[in-house]
Amino acid sequence: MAETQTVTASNESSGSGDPPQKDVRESVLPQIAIPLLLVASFVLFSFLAPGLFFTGTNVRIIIASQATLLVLAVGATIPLRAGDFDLSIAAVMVLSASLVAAMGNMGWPLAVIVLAVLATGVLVGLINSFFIVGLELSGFVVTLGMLTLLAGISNLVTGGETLATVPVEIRDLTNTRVLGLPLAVWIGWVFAAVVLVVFQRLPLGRYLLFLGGNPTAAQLAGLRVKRLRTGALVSSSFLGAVAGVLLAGTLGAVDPGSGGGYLLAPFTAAFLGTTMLHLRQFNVLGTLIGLYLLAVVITGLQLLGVAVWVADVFNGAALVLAIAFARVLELRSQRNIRRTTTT
Amino acid sequence: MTPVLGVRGISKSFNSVRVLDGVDIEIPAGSIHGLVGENGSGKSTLVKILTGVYTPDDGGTVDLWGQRVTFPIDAGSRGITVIHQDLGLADDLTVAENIGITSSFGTRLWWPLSWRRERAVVLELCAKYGLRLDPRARVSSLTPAERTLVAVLRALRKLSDDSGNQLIILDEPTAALPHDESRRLLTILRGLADSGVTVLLISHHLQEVIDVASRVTVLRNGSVVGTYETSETSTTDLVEKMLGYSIGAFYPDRGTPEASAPRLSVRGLTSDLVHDLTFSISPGEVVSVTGLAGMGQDDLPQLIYGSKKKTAGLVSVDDRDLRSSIADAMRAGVVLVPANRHRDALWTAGTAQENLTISFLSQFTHSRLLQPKRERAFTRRTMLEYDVRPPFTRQLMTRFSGGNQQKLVMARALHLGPKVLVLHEPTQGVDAGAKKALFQLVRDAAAAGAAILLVSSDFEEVAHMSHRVLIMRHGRIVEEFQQAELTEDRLLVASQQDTPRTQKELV
Repeated sequence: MAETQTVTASNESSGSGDPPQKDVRESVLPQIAIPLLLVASFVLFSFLAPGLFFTGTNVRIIIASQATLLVLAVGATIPLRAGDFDLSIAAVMVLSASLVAAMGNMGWPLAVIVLAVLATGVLVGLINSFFIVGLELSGFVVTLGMLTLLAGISNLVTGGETLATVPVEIRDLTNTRVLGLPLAVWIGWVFAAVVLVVFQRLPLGRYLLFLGGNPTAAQLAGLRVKRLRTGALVSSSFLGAVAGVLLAGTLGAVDPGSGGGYLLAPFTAAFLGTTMLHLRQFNVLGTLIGLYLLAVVITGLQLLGVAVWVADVFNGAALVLAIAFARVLELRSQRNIRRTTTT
Repeated sequence: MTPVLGVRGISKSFNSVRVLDGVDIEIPAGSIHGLVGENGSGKSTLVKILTGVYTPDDGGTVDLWGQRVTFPIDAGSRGITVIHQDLGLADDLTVAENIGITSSFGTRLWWPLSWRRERAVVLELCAKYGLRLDPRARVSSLTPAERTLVAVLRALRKLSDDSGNQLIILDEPTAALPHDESRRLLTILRGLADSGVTVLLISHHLQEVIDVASRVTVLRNGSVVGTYETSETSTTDLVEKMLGYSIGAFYPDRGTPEASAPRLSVRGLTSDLVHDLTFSISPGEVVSVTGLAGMGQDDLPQLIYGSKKKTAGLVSVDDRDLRSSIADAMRAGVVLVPANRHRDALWTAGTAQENLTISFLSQFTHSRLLQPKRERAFTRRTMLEYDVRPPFTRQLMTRFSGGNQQKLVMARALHLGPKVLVLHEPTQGVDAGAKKALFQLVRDAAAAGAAILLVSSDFEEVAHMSHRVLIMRHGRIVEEFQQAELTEDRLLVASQQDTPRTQKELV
């Protein structure tokens, strides 16, 4: 009310010129909180572990170690932006890696292996969509089931053993150094950049956002809601499969039971990312910075000699704190709204 | 005789915006007093001061039963209670249980309570006010008017426990009631007043206020326009006092559509809620569909827009039959402005710009990439053109008033250049100024050749906006009015003609 009235006066005179533009988004601090934390933790560990943490080698290791997780996290961000959950992507990744190793064992040609694995990812996405979009079941529950189902298939494919039969071409390719970093990292960044452009510069990115915000309104506004949701779920599974190929390549050996370790981090990173740019909006940049923040803290703690269990405790706590932080910011901005619009 | 309530010079400001300005009201004992005004005129602020939610600005006074009171008012012990539209009843419990619960069943938390005594209390209350209610009946089995009655009795019991003084404020008690039920309720209110209870009745139904209250106070922009004897005023009179200008000036001239082939034709349209609807609308024509709540008319917009599947019948635009799909309807030029804008039209956490352009984002692309500057410039231009205030493209939707939100929804719909514009309760929760602007937009769209289907329960706007009106009862179109024969009263009467009980005992 107050706002409306103050504006009216200045508006009436400015029919042709620019209307007063006020940036009404939330204050800057919450938006840069996560990047600040990233820088702060980097500086902190540089002091706590002098000569160990802030070295070219260590920074390279941190970045290289996140290549597969990065693709996974970007993948998870896509359905999240459209309001859906895909918990199964970590399992898609492990299954894909297992398939790479198993097919390598059988001596299949490289191109066939990669195509078959990526097709598997798309197939899983289509199955997820059939239940989530077609039958309108809870994505959380469907992909939780899919996660366990795929873990079982991974065991079937590998016979339950760690396979070191990843084709050597894939191993070499992913580990080739380009500008000091393995190719896997660059591949991850390329996928992230593509999704970033889609989110920020294509109408598609806005459609997903609107859909995630209010699916009913999105449908009535003429968006092809079912196609968008299906597309998002298929994309995430596809990226899960890409991550699988990278995982197999970078590690050289595939443990079919390793999916659990990758389950949480992509979501933690994505939720940390919602506190950046626009509040409560999933975005690629936020996801990336969230991911590197997690990596820096965990690597730092490990260099300080902290026990292994700390990583899990930190990952779990970070997820809960990330959504709590986003919620607090949301409540705060709602309070501001109430203060400015009393009737 | 001292008045029950004497309000003198009460003002209230929020953030230096004055929402109440020197309000005076006096209500004699045992009377029904009406309080009317547009949304945002200060009615609810006044009620909140009377019930102690707000403390008024310094300078005003309130007397209750001849005693000066301090602020915030301790409403309960002073004998004031409010009954909101949401009655706060537990549907699965009995009448006696609901009536006793706020009075702790006349006992303490850990003490046994006597249901026999509770039932006797209810019967005694009923006898006192000349009412009939079965204390053992479940609230869910009662008619809407009887439920309101339960809430009133509960309040009366609480008040007589506390102080013996009784001033009941009813906030829109008939808003959700069918016509005959509200008549019953009003008769009952009259009875209450005759037995000494004082009632302050807030209602948008001006005719009801005139029928039942003895005097009515009109608020506009936080000030009292005046208090009038209901025997000496009329609904038109009250509306003009509420608005501050004559109602004739409020609605645009509706023009005459040129005779031509129908743009929208609906033949035998059937769903689970509507049956065999047949009508057509020409370019430039505004056709309204109205009726009492729940008569099926609310199904029509989504059936035509294709977001709900029809079970039979044909919908065609310019002789092209539509499939039941939104995409097909949009391709044919059908655009919907949905009734519940928060649920069906807006992403409230998004900005004005994101909500405005979502239906035609690809217009702002160059080689598939969004051009933010172009999109922003368009949004800014549109917001100025539609007088959306404030015209901030990046302001979040939640921060706009209902009227400004609806202007944005309308701007989005009109930018699509609709051939058929389906408006579903387009002015619900919208202030008078925005309403006026929205009506003009509808008028302009019609003048530009759109066929307009207005589905609305607001008889006033239907009577003033339409070229033709179709009345629905129980899923069927039962009557059609031409422009010349349109009045609010006629629509009201036609809507409820077949309702089983009609009550004429109301004075």
